[in-house]
Amino acid sequence: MPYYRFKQNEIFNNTLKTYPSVKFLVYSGSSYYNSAPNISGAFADPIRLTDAGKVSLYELNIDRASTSTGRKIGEVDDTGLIFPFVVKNGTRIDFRTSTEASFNSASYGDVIVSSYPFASGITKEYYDTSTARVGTVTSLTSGYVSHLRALKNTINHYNYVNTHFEYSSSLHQRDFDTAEVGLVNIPSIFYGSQIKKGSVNLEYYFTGTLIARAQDTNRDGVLYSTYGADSGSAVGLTLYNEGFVILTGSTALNSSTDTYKPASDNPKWIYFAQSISGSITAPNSSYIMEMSGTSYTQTLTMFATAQKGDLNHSNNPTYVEYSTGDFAATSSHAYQELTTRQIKNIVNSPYPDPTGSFEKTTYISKIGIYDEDRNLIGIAKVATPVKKTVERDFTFKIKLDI
Amino acid sequence: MATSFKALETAKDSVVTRNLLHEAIPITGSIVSGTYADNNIKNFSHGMFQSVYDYPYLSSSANHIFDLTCGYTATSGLSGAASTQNAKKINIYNQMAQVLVGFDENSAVRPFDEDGDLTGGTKINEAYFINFTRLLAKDEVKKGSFTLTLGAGTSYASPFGANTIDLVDFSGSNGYKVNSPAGEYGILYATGSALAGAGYQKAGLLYYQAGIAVVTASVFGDLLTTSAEMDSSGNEIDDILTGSTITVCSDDLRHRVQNISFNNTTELNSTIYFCRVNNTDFNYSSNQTYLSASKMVVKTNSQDLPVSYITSVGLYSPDNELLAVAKLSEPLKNDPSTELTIRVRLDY
Repeated sequence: MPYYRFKQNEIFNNTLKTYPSVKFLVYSGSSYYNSAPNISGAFADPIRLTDAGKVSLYELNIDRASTSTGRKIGEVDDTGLIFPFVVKNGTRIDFRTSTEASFNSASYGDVIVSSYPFASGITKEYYDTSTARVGTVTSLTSGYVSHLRALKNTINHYNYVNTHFEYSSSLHQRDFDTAEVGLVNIPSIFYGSQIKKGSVNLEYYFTGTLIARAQDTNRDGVLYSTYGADSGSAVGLTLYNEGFVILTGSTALNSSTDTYKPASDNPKWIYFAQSISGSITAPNSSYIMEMSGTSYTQTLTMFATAQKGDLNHSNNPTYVEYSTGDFAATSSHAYQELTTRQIKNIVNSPYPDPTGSFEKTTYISKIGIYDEDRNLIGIAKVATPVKKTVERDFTFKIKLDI
Repeated sequence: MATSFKALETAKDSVVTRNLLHEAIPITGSIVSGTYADNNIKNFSHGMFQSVYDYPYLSSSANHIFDLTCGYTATSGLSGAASTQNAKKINIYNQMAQVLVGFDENSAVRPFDEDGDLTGGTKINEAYFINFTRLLAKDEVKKGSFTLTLGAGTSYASPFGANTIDLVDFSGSNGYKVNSPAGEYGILYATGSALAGAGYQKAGLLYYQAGIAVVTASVFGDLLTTSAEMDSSGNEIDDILTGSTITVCSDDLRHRVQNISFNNTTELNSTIYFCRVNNTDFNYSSNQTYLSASKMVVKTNSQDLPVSYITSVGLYSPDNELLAVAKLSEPLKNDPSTELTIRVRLDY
C-alpha cells in the first residue's frame, strides 16, 4: 500500500461559522424552546422532568418518578431515578450544586449524591425603582451585589459602540441603579459563542395580539421599538457576547392591565418575559424572543490525489485471475503462494469473447489518513468504489470536523 | 490580562489525578415490559436482536437503554436443523463468545464458562445476552453493584410474587476475572427461594467494561425447583429456544424482568496545576481601573504596600499562547504580606 505525504497546498484548516436560530415563547409561568411542547407521560409530567424551555444535560430519567423502592443499588439507595454520585476522597471533587459546608461535614469515604436533570433555561429579573442593587456588607459572609450591578463594567465597556451603553447616563437621563429595569439572562448553551448581532427580535403579545416589537435595527446592541406604542424609541440593550437583554422601556404599550408585579399595571417592555418563573403568571401576556446564535466548527480539509500511473495495483484476492488448475505449494514446514497468477482483465468489451485489451484497473474504495509515525488515524470511505486506470487521475476532497 | 508569566515546574507544580464519577441506574421491569405496550421495543427485519428504549422510540426523548438477544452453541442439545432460526442463534452465540471469551489454541471460539475457568468446567451453552448502551454503562459497570431480578414463578401469568430470583455479582469488587479480551468480568450468582439448590448458584457472567450481561437460559429451567412457563402456551425455556424466534425469546425474557439496577463509572482525568504567587509576585495590574490620574486606586497613601486583586489565572503554552483561563469566584487580594497558591484543576 503506497503512502503519499500531503503537500502544503493540499491540507487546510477552515472554520465553519453557523447561526442556529433560537426561539423562546414565554407564557403563563412557562417557557418553550424552539416550539418544543411539554409532554406528559405515564409516570411524570413533563417526561423530561424539566420545562420545555430548558435543555437537559444527558436527558436521562425520561418519564420516571421518584419513588422509595427500599432497594439499594450498590452503596446508594434506589430512588427510581438515575442520579450521579461520587465518593469523597483526597482530591476533594464535589458537585457544583452542593455547598461547601455539606462537603466539609462529610467524612472521607462518604457518598455524595446529586440529582438529574442538570437543566438550563432563560431567566428574568425585574428591578423596581426601590430594588436594592447592592446590599450592605456587615461581615465577611454577608453582602449582596445584584446581577444588574455586576454587569456595570460590561455595560460601560460597550459605550464606544453606542451612548446607550452607560450604566448611569446623564445623556439619556437614566440610571440603572434607580430606574425600572428588566434583565433577561440567556445561557450560552442556547447561542454558542455569541448572539448574532442584529438578530434579536422581541415580540410582546397581549391577549394573543401583537402589541409591540423591538429589534436591534442598527446592529449595535440597542433595541428600538419597531411596532406599537413608543415606536422608534430605544427600549433596551443587548449584550451579545454575554447573553443578556436589558429592558428599559417603561412606556405603556396599551391601556389594558395585567398582573405583572404582582400588582396590575399596563404592559411595558420592562415586563417582557415577566412570567417565566415565580408566582407571576400575567395570564393576558405572552412573549416571543427570537435570535440567532453563533457557532464555530473547525474543519480540516485534505486533498488526496491519485496521480496517473499510480495506485494501479491491489492486494485484494479478487485482483488476480481465479484459477482451479494451480495450487499453492504447502508442506508441514512452508507455505508458498503461487507467483504466476495472472492479473484479472476486467476491461469491458462489446464482444463476449475475446475481452478488451488488457489494462490495469483498480477500484479505490477508501483512503487511510496516517500520522507522521504511520499510525492510522482516520479512514475516509467513498460511497461507491471509484474506477482507477493508469490514464486516470483523481483528487479526493476529505473533510473532517474537529 | 496577564502582563507577566511564571513558568510551572512539571514535577513540582502539577499532578495528574483520576476520579471516579458514578451514576445509579435503576431500570424497573414495567419500563421493559408493560407500561408502553411494547412501543418502546424496536424489532428489526433481520430478527437477530431487539432494542429496548426507556420511552416509545418514535419520540425524540426516548433513550436506547439495552439490546436483548439469545443464542446457543452448535454443540448444544437445542441446536438442530428443525429449530427456529437455528443458524442465527448459533451465530449470535459465536459472535458474542468470540468477542467476550476469545479463541482457543486451535482458533475455535471458546464457549462461555460459568465460573470463568476456561480450562474446563461447566459451559454456558444456551444464553440470553443483555447489551447495555454506553449511555447507561458509561466507562464500565461498577463492580459488585449489579442486580437483575427475574420472575421465576411457574405460571406465565404471574411470574413474580415470592418467586423472584436475584442475579448479583456480589463478588465483583474483588473476585472478578481478567481472562477475557473484552476486559474484566464477574460471575453472576442467582439467589432466591425458587432455586432448586441452596445458596448462590452460578447463573451467568457480567462483562464490566463491555456492559454485557450473559445469563444462562437455565435460570428458567434446571436451576429452578420447577421450570417456568415462558409463554402463555406453557412452553418451557428449551421449547421456546428451539421453537421460537429470537424476538419471541426476547419478549419472553422481558416478561420476567422485574428489575435491573447497577452503578456505572466514568473516569474523570484531571491535571492539577499549583499556581504559586509569592509575596512579591503579581503586584501590579494593567487593568484600566487600577490607575486614576497616575495614582493607584487601591492605595490610600503613597507609602501603602502595592495591592492587586487576582481575578483569573491564565495557562499558557511554552510559546506563550493562551490555552485556558481559570476564573476565581471572587477576586483575591494580593499584597507583599501574603503568599497564595491557587489550585487550578483541568478536567478532560
